[in-house]
Amino acid sequence: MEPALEFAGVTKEYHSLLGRPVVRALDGFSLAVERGEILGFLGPNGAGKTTAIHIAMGFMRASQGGGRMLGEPFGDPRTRARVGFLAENVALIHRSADAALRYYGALNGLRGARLQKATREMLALFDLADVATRNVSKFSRGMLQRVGLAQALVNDPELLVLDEPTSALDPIGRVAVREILQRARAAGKTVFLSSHLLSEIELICDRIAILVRGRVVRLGKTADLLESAEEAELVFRGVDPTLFPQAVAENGVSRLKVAASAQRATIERLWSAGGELVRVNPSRRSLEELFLELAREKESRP
Amino acid sequence: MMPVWLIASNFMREQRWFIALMLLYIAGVTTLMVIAGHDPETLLILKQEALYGIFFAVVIAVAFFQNERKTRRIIAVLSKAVSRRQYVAGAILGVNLTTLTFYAGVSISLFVLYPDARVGGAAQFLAHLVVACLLASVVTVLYSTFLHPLVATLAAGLTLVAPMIAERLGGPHWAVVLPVYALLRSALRYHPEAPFAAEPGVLLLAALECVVLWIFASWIFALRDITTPVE
Repeated sequence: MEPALEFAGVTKEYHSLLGRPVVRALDGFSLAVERGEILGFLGPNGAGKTTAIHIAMGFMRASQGGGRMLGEPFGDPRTRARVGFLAENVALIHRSADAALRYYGALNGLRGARLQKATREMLALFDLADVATRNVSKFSRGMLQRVGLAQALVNDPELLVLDEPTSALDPIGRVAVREILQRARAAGKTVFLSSHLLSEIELICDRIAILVRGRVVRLGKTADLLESAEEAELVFRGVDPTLFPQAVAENGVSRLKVAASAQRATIERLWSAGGELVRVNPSRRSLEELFLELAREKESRP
Repeated sequence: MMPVWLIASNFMREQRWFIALMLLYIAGVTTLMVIAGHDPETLLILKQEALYGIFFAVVIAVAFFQNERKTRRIIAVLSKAVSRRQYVAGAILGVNLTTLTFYAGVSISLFVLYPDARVGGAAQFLAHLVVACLLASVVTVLYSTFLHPLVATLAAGLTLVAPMIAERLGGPHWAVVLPVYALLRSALRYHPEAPFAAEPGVLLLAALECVVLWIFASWIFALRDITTPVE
């Protein structure tokens, strides 16, 4: 099946007034977001995430390369009727929440009873029914972000492109958005999620792409990326604890973290001492550890 | 067509205080002239008011793109099923609905001050002004899709004045190249109690130029990056 969103060798350069390239925000960037998945899009500030998203939405033109969104080239207005988008800094028309949702729904082709129903559902889903008649210009950042999410979902999109969707939300709001995204995935929709909230990405994303200096430096399933090939945890029993002083005893078993290079020798030592190896657990890093590792690599490069 | 109307009506809604102020101004001036009684300057003031419409059209058209980009509200609109051509059309329609409201006020003022004015002549007078406004706004929108508002205002002003200068230097046919000046000149000859010398050919040409320039403005706007990266 064709990916929901596909970037193919996209390069974007920002030029000075005289036409000289000043910044290369994306550098041969390629990525495919498969249908029905939640793909987390990470990267340090200035990595090119927002630029990539804006090119996909047709707000910018790539200097080189291109891509497809729901099977059509980037920037096709008819395709955008099937897409929900939330920008990093939400800016909406200065009308009541209810009127703003109807406006954006109508721009996406919703009319009449269908538009009214979708608006009511979104107001209820994002807990905005009580403030539906208040002007969004008077909203707090968190409330504005909820209206932003509501306008992104009002057309029941096949693909959701979200740039920092929960940055202004309180923990309750974040959990609610997480559940909404998980429900969207269960319904077969695709989510392309850019966020700096790594715990959130780790919790809900099927795959993660990490962008550094306009290129994807890591791409894979969340579990695979977080699994460390350099370290493992050995769980064993039946040996004198003094033989492995670094081991931690717990519920009748001992746990010992060993480097991958020392794993075989440690197991052989355990067996020769008459111990029983219960299991070998691959060690998991947190997403934060992986992210910091890649960001530091970036800093150390010229 | 619906996105164009939605963008235009929202723009007009945002201009409601400006529109109210303009109408208040017309009402105030009209009241003053009614109290002061008719004199030859009444018609001159009325025509002057009518010319303000062109100025308003340029000023509000030039601010549209800058405001929408600066506030980043353009992103939410263009993330929907709205093409750049529809967006530009919405901007032009919004500007012209605003000036049309202004001219509705001018029309009322005209018939209050000249109850015996010929309806046909007044309609033609206003048609010339409305089409001149439309063309002026399209030219301004064209420049504001790729220039800073101040530069776009200057460029639009020079473009609108250029046919007048060209006419002086090269002959009368130059006035109809971009006929805002030609239409205004006809409008200035208007008298409420005399038949109006309409220029339907010039009106038609202006309308055609509006369509061509709108397509050109849309094409330029489609090539522009509408967002600057926040990173």
